[in-house]
Amino acid sequence: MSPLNKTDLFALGLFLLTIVVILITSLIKKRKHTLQAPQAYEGIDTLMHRSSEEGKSLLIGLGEGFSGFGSGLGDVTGLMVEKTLMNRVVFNDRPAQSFSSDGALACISHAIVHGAYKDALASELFRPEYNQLTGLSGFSGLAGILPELSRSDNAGLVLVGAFRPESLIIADLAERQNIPTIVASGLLPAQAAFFTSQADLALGEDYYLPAVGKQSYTQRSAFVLNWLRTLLAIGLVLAAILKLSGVIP
Amino acid sequence: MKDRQGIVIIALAGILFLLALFFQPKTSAILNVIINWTIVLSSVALLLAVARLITTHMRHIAVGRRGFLFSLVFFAAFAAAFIGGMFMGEGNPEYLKWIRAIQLPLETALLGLLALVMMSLAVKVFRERGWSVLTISFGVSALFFLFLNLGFLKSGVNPGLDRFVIALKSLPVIGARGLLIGVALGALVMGLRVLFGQVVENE
Repeated sequence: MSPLNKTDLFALGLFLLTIVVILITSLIKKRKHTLQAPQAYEGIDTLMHRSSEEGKSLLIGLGEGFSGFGSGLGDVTGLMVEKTLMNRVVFNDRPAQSFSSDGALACISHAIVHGAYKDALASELFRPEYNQLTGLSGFSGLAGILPELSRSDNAGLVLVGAFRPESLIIADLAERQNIPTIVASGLLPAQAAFFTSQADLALGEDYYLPAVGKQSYTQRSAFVLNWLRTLLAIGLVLAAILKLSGVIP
Repeated sequence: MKDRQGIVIIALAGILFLLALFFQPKTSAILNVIINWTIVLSSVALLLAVARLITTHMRHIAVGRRGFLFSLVFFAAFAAAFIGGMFMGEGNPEYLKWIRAIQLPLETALLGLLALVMMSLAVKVFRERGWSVLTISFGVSALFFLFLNLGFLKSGVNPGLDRFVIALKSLPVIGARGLLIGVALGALVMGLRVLFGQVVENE
């Protein structure tokens, strides 16, 4: 067996610790207080109501997906948000539309959108253009979503997924068209770039707490994250004390 | 029950794949096979997505949707790239030169536009988000580290000053590491909860 280095062992330890914390927290059925959900995601509910009341369309940008620039789990967040959102806006006057810049993501997103219509027993209302591949790369995806913003029937724009800092152009155009925008990206450069825009923004790990729908997933994840943060902070302080006292070379 | 079986299979496959990553090179052969499967599946998914993209644009043209001229431009560009690639080969230097001659100026122009957008938004950030501790520290630190990284404070004469400048330059890295730890924890928790089939709770 190949020897594991210190980093691997630490990663394995953290992995096991997270599993233990998730299992322990899933055993706790009732908690005394609810944790505050990230503000950016709370705005999605407002956009959904606006879309229903004004009969306008909601646009969802899912970013570059699994095989692109920002490959990672972050894309799962976008799909979760899309699923919850689509289930709620199926019978709106103007259907919600989602856009992806990656083939695999576009296919999964297609299945989710189609599933939402099927679950609502309204398969006949589904159209393939409700879910579109806007391009095969980050730039072409960006260029593909821009014309959609110039339509007059948009209630809002939700960008959730892997986005480049360059995608700031999307938020800027949305701002010029008076389209309320919500941005959640797991990539720090994109978060820094979008901070300069008017868009509601999920900062740091808030991205992984998609507070849309019933929020039980978000509450539980926030609870687990709080536990892990506390344990890591204790570990770091202990390590610093041991290092200063010379126990750790 | 059927759903639970799927979740169990996915969870087991995910955990085994994760463990295989730790025990390389013994597990390299298995990992290579799995990665090849992933590439094949991604390629098929891409083909499907492109086929749907084409049908969507065909529909836009057929019904005369507003902005259907963009769809015509898409078809012309797609056909030129596709036919060129089929006849000349996608690795042909002439073909690649031809594609780059169009793509590079377009992307450069987009980046130039982005620079202007970022500059205007950086000025507007205080008006839009107000004068808060966060916005002020954001603006001041951006300007300060931009100035610092230009190299004006590199004396080369005073080693103490140089060490101080290097220490200052490492400050953003410390902040970024703090954020990255948070993001990594978030990704880890989400990944494991997806593996355990706990993502359906929000519905």
